[in-house]
Amino acid sequence: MTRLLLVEDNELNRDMLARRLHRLGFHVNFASDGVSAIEMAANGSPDLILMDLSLPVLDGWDATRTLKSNPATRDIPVIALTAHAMSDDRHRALEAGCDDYETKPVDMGRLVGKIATLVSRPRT
Amino acid sequence: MISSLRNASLRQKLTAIVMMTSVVALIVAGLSFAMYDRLTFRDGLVKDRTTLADLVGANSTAALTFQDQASAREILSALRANQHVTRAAIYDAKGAPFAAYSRPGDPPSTPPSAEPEGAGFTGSRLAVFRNVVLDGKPIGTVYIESDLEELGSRMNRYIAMVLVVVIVAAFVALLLLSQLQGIISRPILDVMRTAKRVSETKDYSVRARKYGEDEIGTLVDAFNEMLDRVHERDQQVRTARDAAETANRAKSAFLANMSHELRTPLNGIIGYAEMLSEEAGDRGREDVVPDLMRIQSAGRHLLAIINDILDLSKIEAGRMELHIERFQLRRLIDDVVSTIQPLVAQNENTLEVTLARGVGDVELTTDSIKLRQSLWNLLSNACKFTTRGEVSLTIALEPAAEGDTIVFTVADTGIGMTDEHVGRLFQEFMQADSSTTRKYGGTGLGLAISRRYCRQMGGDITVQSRPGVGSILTLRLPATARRPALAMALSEAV
Repeated sequence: MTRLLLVEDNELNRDMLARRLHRLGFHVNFASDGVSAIEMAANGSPDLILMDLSLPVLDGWDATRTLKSNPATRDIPVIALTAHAMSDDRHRALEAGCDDYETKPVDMGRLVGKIATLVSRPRT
Repeated sequence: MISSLRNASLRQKLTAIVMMTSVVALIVAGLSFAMYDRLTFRDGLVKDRTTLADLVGANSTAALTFQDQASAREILSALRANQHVTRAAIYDAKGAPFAAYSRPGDPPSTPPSAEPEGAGFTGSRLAVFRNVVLDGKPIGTVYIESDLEELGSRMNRYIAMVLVVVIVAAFVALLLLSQLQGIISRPILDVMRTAKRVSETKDYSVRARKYGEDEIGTLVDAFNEMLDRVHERDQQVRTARDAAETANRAKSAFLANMSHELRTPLNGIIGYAEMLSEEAGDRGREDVVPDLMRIQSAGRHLLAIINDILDLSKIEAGRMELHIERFQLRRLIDDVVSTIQPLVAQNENTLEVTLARGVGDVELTTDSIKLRQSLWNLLSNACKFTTRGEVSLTIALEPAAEGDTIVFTVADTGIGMTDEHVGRLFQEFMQADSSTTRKYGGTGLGLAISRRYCRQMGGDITVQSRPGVGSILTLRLPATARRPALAMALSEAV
């Protein structure tokens, strides 16, 4: 079973996304801020991280940067969840080291496709 | 001469006026003195010749009394001493010539008949007749004729002197003028320079210098007072503009924050509606799926509007930055075409994509996301306003020395627009017709945003349309985003 770490501070969105992903057969863990996301990524070594960008304590960009600079978590793929398809957030997400991005509200079919591609990607 | 002075500089005008006036005055004065001198000289000449005639007369009384013509001639020949005396004669009491004299070298000539006492100028000669009186009785007449060469040469010398005086005086006047004309021209030039500086630099705080309490001083006062007013007005306009800009920025910032806050709960609404419709099958409640789809669709529409407002407010707040990158045109087109397919199918339209030769391999250096969104907007509009028709996308490259331009043309066979509608097309929240929003959906922001994006990237979007025939929208973009165009578009947007 693919283990996902969903980093999202909004309870409604976290609950909704987790339930839908669970329904599709993913194992989902949560973090609600950037700092706990880094901890959980290091301890739980999930297969993939879904990262909301506007987070309390440490935002998604900085959290991703930290993850990608740590050799232990560097190889975990990160998909940024951005609020708006055309906003500057996406560029900043890719610059921060995210492997891909998905626009909220997510298109489940497309998100699952992206997860599958990144998880099956050979680790460097 | 006066008309040719019209465009001369103030300095030249002053010089011309002063020089003309002083030279004319000098010439008139010089000529007047010459005329006066001529009259004085002539009077002197008459007196001199009269005295000479009286002298000859006094000397010749004996000769006349004794009818001694030889001694009379002797007396006359003494006139040789004065080379200006041309002819002379002595007449007896009856007026008959008694003795005559002609200047040596002149051809001998008979003297004129005797006349009463007097002097007269005839042509270039002065003729003087004087009676010879002995014991109160006239016994003869003396005649002396002189040339006026003395007068002529005197006049020539005089005119030469006047000319020299005029030239020297003119030169001195010119020297003085070059020092003194500043009294008049400097304050005027100063006002002029100040006016020029104000109009060039738009600096309304400079003031013209005042040199004195004359008319120019009054002009300077009036000019400075006018500048005060303009400065004041300028300040007011600036303050008002700054306030308006601040307010607009605040509005944009508010919109940006607001729309961000609106999206979070909206994502929940859309997400839960999707989740419910996914789970509806499991729970055996397929009947609610259509309603859940309606919630999703309305939610996505609202989200699209909010996103457009956010984009626009970001552009207006000057916070929309370009992300220039190098990418393959072909990939972008493939991407846009594949995402637009559902919209093409919705109204049973067909989409034809034509790439001019060589365009597929072109690499662009610009903001790919903004270009993608602009193209998508043009295509989605074409699809929305066309039913069972054709939508075409043509891409061509226009090479140019200052950089290639890529031209996207989106044509449709849809409802088209009148000129009036075209004019309003790019205004925010303006669809061609406000009833359009109800009928066709959309926010009316797409084209306005797309055009702002294109201008930001140094390009533009233009439109041609005919009602009932269709529309052609043309997006032109530099293949490499140009920095100056960029800066300009940005400052315009702010």
